[in-house]
Amino acid sequence: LATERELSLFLQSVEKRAFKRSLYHVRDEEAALDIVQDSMMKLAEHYGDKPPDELPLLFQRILSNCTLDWFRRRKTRQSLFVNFSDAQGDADDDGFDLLEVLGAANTDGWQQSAEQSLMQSQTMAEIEIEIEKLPPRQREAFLLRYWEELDIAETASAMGCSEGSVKTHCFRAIQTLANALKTKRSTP
Amino acid sequence: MKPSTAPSNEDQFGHIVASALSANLEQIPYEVQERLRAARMRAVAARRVAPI
Repeated sequence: LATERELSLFLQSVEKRAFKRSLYHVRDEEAALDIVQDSMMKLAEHYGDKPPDELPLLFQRILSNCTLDWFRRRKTRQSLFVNFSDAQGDADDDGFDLLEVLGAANTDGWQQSAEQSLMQSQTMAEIEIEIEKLPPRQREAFLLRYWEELDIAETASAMGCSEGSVKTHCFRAIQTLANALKTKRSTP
Repeated sequence: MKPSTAPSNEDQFGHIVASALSANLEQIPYEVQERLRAARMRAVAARRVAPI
């Protein structure tokens, strides 16, 4: 079972990402802080005696639910529940090459060069803006999968959807982000 | 032992973007970081303890 120190260290490890993730959704700093505070309290009060390895998924579920609760209270729930069909026009499935978008010179060292290229050519703010622009369910799936490093099954559990939906949301999010970054790179 | 599989281009792209987001976490204002710390301490103080 998680000790007080383990719980504290866990919360410390996730609190900044949790704040930013909430902020991407609600776009209100005070609201994002409230959501993270509520989530931390609920985790500690209800699941503080759970094993440490169960805390990440529990916390992500609570954070998602607290974010939904905020939207419900604001009667704007529909903005978080975008119908899947609404997202279908987001991605341009013309088969563009992600490696090209990332600026890979070759397949051996592409990751390093891609990261350097990405960091050099795009500001952090631009990336965050594109994340904010994603449809909510795509954004949630992308952030849980790649930022929180949940696997597909865990992401599906946290989002209350199927694994297939997670894969589709993530794929579309990546296509949308790649398209946006590609456009920015090609714009002088 | 599971065979190792190379991450797809999509996965690699996703992790690179996530790395950029993580790198930007230190830009969170000090006041917000302090409020997060205070919230964490309150939560830990309210931690549920399993009955013995």
